[in-house]
Amino acid sequence: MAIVWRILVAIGAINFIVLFIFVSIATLQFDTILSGLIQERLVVIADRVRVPFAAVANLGLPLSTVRNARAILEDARQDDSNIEHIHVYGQDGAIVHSTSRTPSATLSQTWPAELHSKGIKEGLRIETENAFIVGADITSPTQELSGGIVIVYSKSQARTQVLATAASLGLTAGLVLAGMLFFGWGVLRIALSEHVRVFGGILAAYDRFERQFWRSSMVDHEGDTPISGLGVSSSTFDSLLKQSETRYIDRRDKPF
Amino acid sequence: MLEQPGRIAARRVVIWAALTLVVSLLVTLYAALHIFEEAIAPELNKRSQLIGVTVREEIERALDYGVPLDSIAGVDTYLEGVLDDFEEVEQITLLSVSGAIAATATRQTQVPGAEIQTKLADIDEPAWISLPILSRNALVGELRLETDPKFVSTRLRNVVLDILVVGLVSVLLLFELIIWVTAGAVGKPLDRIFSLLREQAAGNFKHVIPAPDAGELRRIARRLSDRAIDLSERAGKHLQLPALPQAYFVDIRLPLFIFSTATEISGAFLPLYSRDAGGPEWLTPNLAAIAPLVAYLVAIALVAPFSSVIVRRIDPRRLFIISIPLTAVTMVGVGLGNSAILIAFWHGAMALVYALATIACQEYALRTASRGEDAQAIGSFLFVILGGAFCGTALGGVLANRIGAGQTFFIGAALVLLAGIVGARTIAPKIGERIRQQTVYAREPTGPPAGILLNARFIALILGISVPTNIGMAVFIWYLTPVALSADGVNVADIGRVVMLYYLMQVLAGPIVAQLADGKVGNLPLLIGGITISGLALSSLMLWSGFWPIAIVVTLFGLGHTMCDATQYSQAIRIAESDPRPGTVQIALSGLRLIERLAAIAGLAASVFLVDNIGYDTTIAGIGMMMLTGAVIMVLVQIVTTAQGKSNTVRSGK
Repeated sequence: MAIVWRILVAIGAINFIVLFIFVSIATLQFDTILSGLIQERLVVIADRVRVPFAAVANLGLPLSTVRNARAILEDARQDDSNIEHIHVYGQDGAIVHSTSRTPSATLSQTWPAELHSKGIKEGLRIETENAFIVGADITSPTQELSGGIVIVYSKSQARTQVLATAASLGLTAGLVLAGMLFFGWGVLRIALSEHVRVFGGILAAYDRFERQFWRSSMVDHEGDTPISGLGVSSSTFDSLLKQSETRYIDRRDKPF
Repeated sequence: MLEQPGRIAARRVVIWAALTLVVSLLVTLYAALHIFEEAIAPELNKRSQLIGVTVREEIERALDYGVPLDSIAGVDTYLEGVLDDFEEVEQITLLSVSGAIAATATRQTQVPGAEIQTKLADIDEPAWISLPILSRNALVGELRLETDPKFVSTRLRNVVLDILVVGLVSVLLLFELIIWVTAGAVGKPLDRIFSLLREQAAGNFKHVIPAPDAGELRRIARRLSDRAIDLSERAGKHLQLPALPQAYFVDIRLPLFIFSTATEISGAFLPLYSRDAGGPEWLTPNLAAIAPLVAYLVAIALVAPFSSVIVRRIDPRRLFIISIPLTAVTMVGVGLGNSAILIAFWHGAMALVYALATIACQEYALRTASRGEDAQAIGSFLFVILGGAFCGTALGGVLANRIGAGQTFFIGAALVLLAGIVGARTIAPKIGERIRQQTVYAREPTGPPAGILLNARFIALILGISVPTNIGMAVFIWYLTPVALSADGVNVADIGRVVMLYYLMQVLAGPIVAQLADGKVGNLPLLIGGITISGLALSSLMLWSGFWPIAIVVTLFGLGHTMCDATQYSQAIRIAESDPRPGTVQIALSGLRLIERLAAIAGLAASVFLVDNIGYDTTIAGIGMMMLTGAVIMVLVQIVTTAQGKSNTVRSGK
């Protein structure tokens, strides 16, 4: 029976490795897909928010002159509870409007420069440890940079979703593995029945042989039928055993 | 003696084991698809809401100016812009209150590969969402969004294909592992016990069987061993008695499989990797692409003539183990390489050591083969190597896509070390000599054994089969397929999967072909048939081209090559053994290998020139023509030699 276990372990190990790799790759892919979708969405939101500010910039006015800017930003922010802040910054890179009360604490100095270098269509897309940061720039008709919009979006919900997906996948894989092992054990017992039988036959023949020794009887107790399979047979085994025993005894008792 | 003890036991089990693996993968895949769709639904919902809000704002602005919904101009174009921003939407329709369609936009492009998903995912009803449009608290219309039900599954395509590759690799690995386990637990113990019994029944008590080698039969082993120990003690000698020397082909299977996987890990992307690495001015991109391939072939060609000498001096086990650390070092070298020249150098060095290791294993395979089973022995040996190449190529494609080509080589080096560890445990140090088959020959040939190389049938074999097949393999599979597919814009993982088909064909068809070659069909029909199939397949690329045609041609070429591969070695051995001079077999095999490699090198060099002038497809078709010519040569020579043989028999009055 040991062979059944050994093979089951081999199958189980490989199965486990494959499913583990699958869950890992699938989770990573899900993370990528989700991040991509979120960032695309944020780009569309940023595009929407910049419309009133772009109108102002088209007139050549600085962005700080938009009076109900805060309301516009809050309106957009409330569409999705995951949006942490929306900032509008002016030509010099300083924040002119923001949904946050302490904007300097959250804005990084490098973003405006990055935004400008990426161009209008590209926009800013950064992923930090805790947030997605997406931005769109606002240019005047003379292609001068008047400023930009930056949306800071919290990753916590996305992270939870990814972990939940990973857990579901892991659970499913675990259940499948357990089921397959159970099924595999049953199938292997049937598939290996001949091996088990042949081994059993050989060992039984050997036991009979040994029994003759401790009973000190040379009478053949060949009650059982010989078993054969896998290219060997227990009767061959039996005769070889007896032959070799005879030779051994001859050699052992030979006078020096 | 039991033939190939591992084989009998493993065959029955392996199908079931592979089945459990495949079923568990498919079930998990199916469940994963549903999990994904559920998990991504909230985000998709948010996106739909956003679309609704955005479009509504624009339309409400127009309505505020007094424009009625039906006559808003340019809405179609605007809606198409929305489709650009939101990939999951198939169709947006703007409806007026009465239900009439005011404007609509439909996505035109088909996402490639979407057909694959229809087998795995249910075709749900296309989901559509309705968003009302308000103007000053009055309902003026409706926006209807139709989303693509296959959106998630299409995005999962890469994962599915990668998992497919991992699954196939695992099935092969499982196969080898099961053979190893059953050989160790069933086949070898039985064989050892019976062998020792036969020895002792003949009066030879010189050997013992150590308990671990006997598996569940160790009680028997202990008693039998004790007889030998007792006799030697009584004779006054207290030596450590040697274990029964037994070597089986199964010993090298697992280490060779892992080794082959590791060394072929770059199969999908080597020409691309070296081409992109650049080099000195005179190295054109095409030359850079083939540089490592040429280095590989040159190295193997250099080793080929010395293989018989090497094999006689160093025993297979030591040779294999020496090659391991050297191979690992060279693979690291390739991974670090930042110019095509360096990459070619290290790859060539790897080829040198690889050749030594595989020669060791081939020798092991031949010496442990049963009588009259040459094609099967070489077939099993090739099965393991090609199985490894298959796994390595496919795996390498997936890895290179995710972690980069350089890192993939490092993983390959680690696998090489693993192969060494396994090999150190399983390969036996001593094997017996090969039993020569004596055949009746028609005429007494004279001259040195190297004259076998001038034998007409041997030359026909080389020109008709070996040369075209090897040129086909080196030029078409190693060089042109990755380069041509990459020029079509196919990514590395997909190239890996196409090249994998070639090896898969060899793995699947190999054992059957080997049996047919040794049995009823014989070598020649398979050789001629194989080269014809390959020739026709390659030539067909004159008529069609593209991703799927190349994939099909690769598969057919794999089939044709399989029919020729082990069979040609077996035929070479047969031709050599019909010659009574000693040592002809070794010389024939060495000669065959050497000429194969030289032909491949020449073919690669020529192909670079040809590709620049006449393009990929025509070059490939040219190779196909060469193969068909080879088929004709084989048939002609066969007719001539059969006629000669008949006339000889008539003359000698037999």
